[in-house]
Amino acid sequence: MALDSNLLRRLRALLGDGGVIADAARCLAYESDGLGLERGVAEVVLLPAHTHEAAAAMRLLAEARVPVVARGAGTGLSGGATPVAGGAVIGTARMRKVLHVDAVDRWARVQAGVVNVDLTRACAHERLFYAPDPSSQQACTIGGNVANNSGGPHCFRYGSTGRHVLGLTVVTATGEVLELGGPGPEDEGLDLIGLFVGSEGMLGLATEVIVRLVPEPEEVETLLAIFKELDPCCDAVSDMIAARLEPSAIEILDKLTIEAVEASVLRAGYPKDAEAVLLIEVDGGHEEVDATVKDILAICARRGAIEVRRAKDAYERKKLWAGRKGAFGAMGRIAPDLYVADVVAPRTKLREIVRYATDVARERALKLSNVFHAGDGNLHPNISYDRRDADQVRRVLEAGDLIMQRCVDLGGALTGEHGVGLEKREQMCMVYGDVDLDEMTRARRALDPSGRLNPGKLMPIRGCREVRTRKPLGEVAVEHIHEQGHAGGRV
Amino acid sequence: MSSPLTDLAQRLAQSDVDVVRDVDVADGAGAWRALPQDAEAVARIVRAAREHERAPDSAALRLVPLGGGSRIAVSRPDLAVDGALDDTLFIDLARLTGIVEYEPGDGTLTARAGTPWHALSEAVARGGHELTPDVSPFGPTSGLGSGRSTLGGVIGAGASGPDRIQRGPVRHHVLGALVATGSGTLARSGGRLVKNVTGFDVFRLHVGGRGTLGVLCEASLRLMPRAEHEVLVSQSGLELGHALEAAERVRRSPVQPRALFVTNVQRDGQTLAVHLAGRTRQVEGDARAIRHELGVGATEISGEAARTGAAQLRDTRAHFEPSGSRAAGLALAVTSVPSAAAAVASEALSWCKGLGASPHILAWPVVARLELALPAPVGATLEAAALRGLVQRLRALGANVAFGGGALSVARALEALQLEAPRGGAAWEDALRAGLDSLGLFAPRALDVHTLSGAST
Repeated sequence: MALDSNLLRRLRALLGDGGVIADAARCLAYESDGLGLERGVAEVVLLPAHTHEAAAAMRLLAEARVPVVARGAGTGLSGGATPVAGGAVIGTARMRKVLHVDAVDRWARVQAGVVNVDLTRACAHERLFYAPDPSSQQACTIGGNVANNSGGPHCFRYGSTGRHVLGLTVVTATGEVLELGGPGPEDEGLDLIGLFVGSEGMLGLATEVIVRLVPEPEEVETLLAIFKELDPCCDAVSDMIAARLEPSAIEILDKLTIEAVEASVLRAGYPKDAEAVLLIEVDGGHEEVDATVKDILAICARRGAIEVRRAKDAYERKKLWAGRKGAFGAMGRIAPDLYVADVVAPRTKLREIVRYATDVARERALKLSNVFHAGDGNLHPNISYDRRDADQVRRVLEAGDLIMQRCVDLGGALTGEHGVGLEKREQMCMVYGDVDLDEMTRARRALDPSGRLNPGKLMPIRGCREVRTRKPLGEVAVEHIHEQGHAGGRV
Repeated sequence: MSSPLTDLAQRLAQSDVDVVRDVDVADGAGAWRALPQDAEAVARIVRAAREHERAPDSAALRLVPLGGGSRIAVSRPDLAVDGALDDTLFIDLARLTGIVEYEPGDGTLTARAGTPWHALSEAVARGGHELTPDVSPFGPTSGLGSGRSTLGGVIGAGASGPDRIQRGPVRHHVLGALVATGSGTLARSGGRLVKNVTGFDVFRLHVGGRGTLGVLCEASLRLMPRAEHEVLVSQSGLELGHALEAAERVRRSPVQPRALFVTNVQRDGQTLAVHLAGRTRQVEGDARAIRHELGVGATEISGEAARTGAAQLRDTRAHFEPSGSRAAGLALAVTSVPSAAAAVASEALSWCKGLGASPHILAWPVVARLELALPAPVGATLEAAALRGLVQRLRALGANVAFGGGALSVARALEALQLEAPRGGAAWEDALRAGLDSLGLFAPRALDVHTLSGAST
């Protein structure tokens, strides 16, 4: 379905030639996000530079009933930004301005396309920072972070994106502009920001965001605890949570991850003979950091850590973190593709779920590596594979399904920070019943009755009762591939 | 005695839901009160109300969830304005109590909405945790409940505590909930995990939603570690301006207090109190720094005494809103960005002086919340137009101004607080109400400004 030429002309008049991409070859660059398994080609990609341009474009698209998929940097891992065939993509690549930094009241107003790390750079001279730090922070945008309620290692102490958004400028499905919240404490009324953050582009398009900034801590300590086994490493984390310690980040990297990182340009000095390492950061006042570090060292010793290293300076700290944040990229050395699971488990069950994931992968002859936000119970069992091998893809999706199901059975969830998107859409039925999903659908319909915003994402297409009767697990994955084939997607 | 809801009450009684009519309760004269046993019964009540509402010739009714009643006067001033409540069915959650899950090793709590806050505090204290928001377990008795704070009431009222400086508002710590919806279903969203982005967080609409969209039946909270040590540093006899300036200096220093208070409730002049909580040596060092900052006259208490002292300051509202005389005053809750707090307070104070009134003040300066309570004689006779002048000046300074309590002048206060322009999200709020509560069973009645002035309150 080609877009009406008159519509294209009006969009060009509005956004200029630089703001409208309509030739098929260039649209292909937007065919997927970080989840390569899901693809779709948009008819047009729009790049407004301001809220009013985005709103005007949205009005034209609404008139023509064109579906719209919002896109930040395309680093999402769940297919949330996969274009809809015949639809439009509105990207925020030309909305990269930090509009205002208020150092006194500690907030900033930014355009949605501002890259996460650029925001912290823009306020570093005031000794402030923006706390949510996804591993993709060198590329991902604040708007994308809002859509997914993104996390990151330091969310253990500081909280995910939702706890840092004070206000939003939102363009609705019909092209109206809403101003929600503001720099001060919330006003009376419903928490619309709370509903919007994490709604995966299905309620509106955020064009500007007011975020909370956090003062740089007085003291930072970065520890690397080295373990001979993965189990006691997981147990050490459960102990820290049970002891109610509050470091700013608690991350686990397993052997395969360590090897991949150490073989890459991001070499961080992780010991290659270790089965697992714990990367822990403690920040706050001098005495607070001192006391917490002592407690952590005691727990690590009790759990049999063979060594705990302390970063001597900012350079060493940066290196340790560069290895962690580059871990997903470094996996490219193992296989061409990486399936990044994003499950959550209660923090008393870490060892159990990691062991289960290991078994599931072994039984299916898959390469599994673990690198995850252990402190939050947010696991990333990563499976390296080659998407050209259909059977391998089937086994990967099956393993992913089983790991998700086990997490849910243990009181966990499908996703901690990557979102549901297309990837985990049908698995929503593992967590929620039809009644729960109906209520979510009502909220969505209330704000976008047309259903044009990011259609087909997050909500399972069939009723959950139907999906549940299609067990045993694994068949879902197989069907998944067939469906993609019918839809013209490539696996 | 017949009422528009007599039939509905009878039908509910037949489906095993106890319904009583509290004719003697001063604040809720004529109101019906249902006492569901469990969440499923709450949903049954909504379904029965939907049938009632849809029946031809039936009178309109309103459903109002009720916890301990300690916040309802502030949360739902529309009830006081209406006067007659014989079309109102309170859904009293007094029987929906108990902890569903508390796993100390995981630091999360799930409980039924009617569980008293103090019971939850005690339970999690045994695991070394404490609750946020730090709110009083007891509020003024409204005549509609026990006066005890409940889980559902605190969340529904969106009642952040003074600890939000350090921990953020209550909305950041609710992890998920089970809600009896306006459609008569029981819907869950979120979960009990500290990190989770599975599905739309519909439950967030009920956090601070004041029961105007459905009934919170069960909720999960992120728990906070109980501090190793606590200190309360305070200084009395300050001018309001000086106290707020000192508070602002503390905010800009490296010290991160648990709470800050400025109040004149307990004695003449303002008292500034800084509550510190955390690791022992950090707290001790911070206390020394704060005493140095405040200079001569600063005093310090520590340990359990500091904890109790901070709780008393937190609960000073009770001093200007004691039960019984509560109805006599008028309180406003004003919030702003921290740097505007001093200007907001001074504007408010000079307005009060112009009226010849000396208000009670309770401020949490860093989160820039100011509660201003006018004594009874002024609060009772104040005209809406006079109050409106203050509200406009405060809003011009960027502040939010909300009704903070006091029954005598509710109608006039609400008239003064009407916004000239609707809030940015008003259209979405309306759409969500229409979508999630299509029959408007939970919706607060719109206030008709033209009839307010003459309303008997």
